[in-house]
This record gives sequence, structure tokens and C-alpha cells, in this order.
Amino acid sequence: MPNLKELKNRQVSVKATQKITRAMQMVAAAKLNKAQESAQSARPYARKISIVMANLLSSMDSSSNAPELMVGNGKSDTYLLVVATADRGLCGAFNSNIVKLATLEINELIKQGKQVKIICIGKKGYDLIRRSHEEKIIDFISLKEVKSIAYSDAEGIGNNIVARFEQGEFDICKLYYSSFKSVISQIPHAQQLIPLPIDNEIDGDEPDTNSSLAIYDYEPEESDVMEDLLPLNLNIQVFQGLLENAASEQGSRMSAMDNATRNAGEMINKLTLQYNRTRQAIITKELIEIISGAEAL
Amino acid sequence: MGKLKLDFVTPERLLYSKDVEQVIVPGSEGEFTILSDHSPIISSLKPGYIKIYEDLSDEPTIYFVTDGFVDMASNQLTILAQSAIEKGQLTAKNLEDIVNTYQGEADNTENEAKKNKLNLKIDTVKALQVEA
Repeated sequence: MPNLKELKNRQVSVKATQKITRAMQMVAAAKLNKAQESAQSARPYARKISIVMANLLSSMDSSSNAPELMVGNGKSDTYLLVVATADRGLCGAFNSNIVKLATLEINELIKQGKQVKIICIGKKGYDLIRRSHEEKIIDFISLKEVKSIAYSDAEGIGNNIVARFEQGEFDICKLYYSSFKSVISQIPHAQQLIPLPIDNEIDGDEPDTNSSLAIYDYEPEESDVMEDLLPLNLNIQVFQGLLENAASEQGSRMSAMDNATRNAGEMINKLTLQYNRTRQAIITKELIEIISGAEAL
Repeated sequence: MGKLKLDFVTPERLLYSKDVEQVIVPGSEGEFTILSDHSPIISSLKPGYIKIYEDLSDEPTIYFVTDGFVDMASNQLTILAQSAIEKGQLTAKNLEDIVNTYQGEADNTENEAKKNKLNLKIDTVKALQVEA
């Protein structure tokens, strides 16, 4: 028969755990609100810039002097995968889903005999990838100190990527992050940054045909505008990715912690039942002992 | 007079989305005015003031922007600004911070063309400082 004291202890410890998970859930819910808001308020800019880019792409003649950031450098030997994850755990399968998607791609590329380089954003993804592909990681960026992601954070990462591209360190760049669909659904997602994917999907908001056929005046020269606009576009895509990721992380944590709280509740119920039954059994046993002792006299 | 649709966005948020009559923007080649049915144009911006006239008889709404682009096509004007501050809230400290950031970037870069561009921006902001 289990010890009463032991049962009581377990009950207390599960209760303590439940308090923690409940608190974490509430914190995540509050943070989610903020993260969701900033992800949503950043969407117009990202959408606008992709419309502008799409307009530009369609109005540009397919001349060979198009900037390399846009059309790539014609090779596809070295891939750079930027894997964005969270810096903290306890958020369900959020981190491992992103890493799983990236790892699939890494293995596939290796099979094809391509060179792979990895930049990790966020400590959790770094820890996971390091186990199998440590030598491929060329950079690790932690955003742990950053409370809410500002454009300047993404700008730093974007500039880093562009600088590496200009030095010829890689040919094709992809960004891995989790896009935020809803609190219960976050979908890991790969997005190509360099070269710019031509079939630029602009979530449901196609540029109207009028404007995409327009012939633009450029001020200053087309090449100058491109030189500024392309890195900007890349930075914005990274920024958008990071914001989506932040919202997804909180959403994922919220539902994970909600589950944990509910499980803890179930466990407490079971333990309470067991405790009461055991107590009852002990009392019954003692009574029987006393009665049979009295009868023996 | 006809109106054009203006969307004014920064990476952080959508700042302004309305039908307006006239917008004056600080293009990198010089300030210019956009009215409805302007021909398609893409221009980069230099630090300066964007003046938005919802109605020509009214006072304009003025924003200070540092960097960015305007895109005008089929009566849809899009202003993509890196950062924007309403003129009333702009202080000398803001301008000084901006100069310092540019200066820092200029000191760090090896690329001559980039350095020149940044120096140009610094000069523009400094000119605005004198004005203000």
C-alpha cells in the first residue's frame, strides 16, 4: 500500500507545476497579443514592397545586367540556410518543427552534392542543429536580449546576408521560419531570399494588371534604385519572418502550456482520489484491527 | 481636381491610407510634387519632409522621413519609409541621433560609393538641422 506521505508530496509538487504552467500560459497570451499586433502591422509594408518588386520585375526587360541579388549569380553550388527559431524552449513542437523542415532540406542538398552553410537565429535551433551539422554553421545570432523585434534587428541580419553574398560565400539563400496562421496553427515555412523568386506570391493581393504593365520612370537611375531597393526588400522579408516567428512562438507556447495545465489538473484529480482511497483503507484496517482485538478478549 | 490613393507605410506600421490631392516628396534627385494621374515613377527618397495635402485649400500634414522609396502607378501612390516622425514631434535630438547613426555607418563601411551616399545624407540632415 502506497505511503500516505508520499502521495501527499506528489500532489503538492504537481500542484506547483500546474501553477507554473498556468502562469506561463498567461504570460504567453499577453505576449502573443503584442507579437500578433506587430506582425500584423508590419504586413502592409511587406505586402507593398512585394507589389513594388513584382511591378518592377514585370516591367523590367529580362536583360542580363539585372542585379545578382535579384536573379542570382547563375550558380547553385552553395546554399545558405537561415534558420530562425526561438531562444527559449517549452513551446511545444515549435522549434523542432522548423528544425525538422530545415534538416530535411540539408540532407537533401547534401545528397545532391551541394555545399550547405547555415546561419542560426535563436539558441534552440542552434542547439538542435549543432548536434548533427555543427561544422556547417557559420554564424549564430541570438535575439534573447531583444524584447520586441525592431526593424533594426532584421536590418543587421539582412545586411550580414547581403555582405556574405557579395563576397561570393553562397549562391542561393533560404529563410526558415514559422508563419503564424492562428493560435493553434503555426506552419514551418521556407522562403527563398536570393535570388528573388519570380512567382512572387502576394497573399491574395495581386498587383492589378494596369500597374504591372506600366513603364516606370526611375529616379535616380534604375540600377541605383535597384541597388537600394533589393537589400531593403531582403531586410523586410527577414523582418517579417522574425515577427511571424515571434508570434508563432508565443502561440505555440500558449497552447502547449494550456495542455500542460490541463494534464496537471487531471493528474491532481487522480492523485487526490488515490490519496483519499488509501486514507480510507488505512482507517478501515485500523478499525478491523481494534474490533478483532476486542472480540478476541 | 482628381484624387490619388496614398498608402504611407513604415516597417512597423501603416501610417496613412487615404485619398489625397497632392503630395510633395523629397526625392533623392530633388523635391517633387505628385498629383493625380502622375506617370509611373519609382524614386528613392532623401531625408526630408513629406507634405500631404488631403485638400489643396487645407494645411498639409507633414512627416519627416529618413530613407525610403515612393512608387506611383495608376493613381496609387505608395511611400515606403524606413522611419517617419510627424513634424510636430520632431526634435533637434531626433535629427542629431539620425546624423550619428549615419556617421557610424559611414565610418564602418569600406565601400566608397556607400560612404559618399551616407555623407550626402548627413549633409541633408544637417541642412535641415540648421533650418529647424
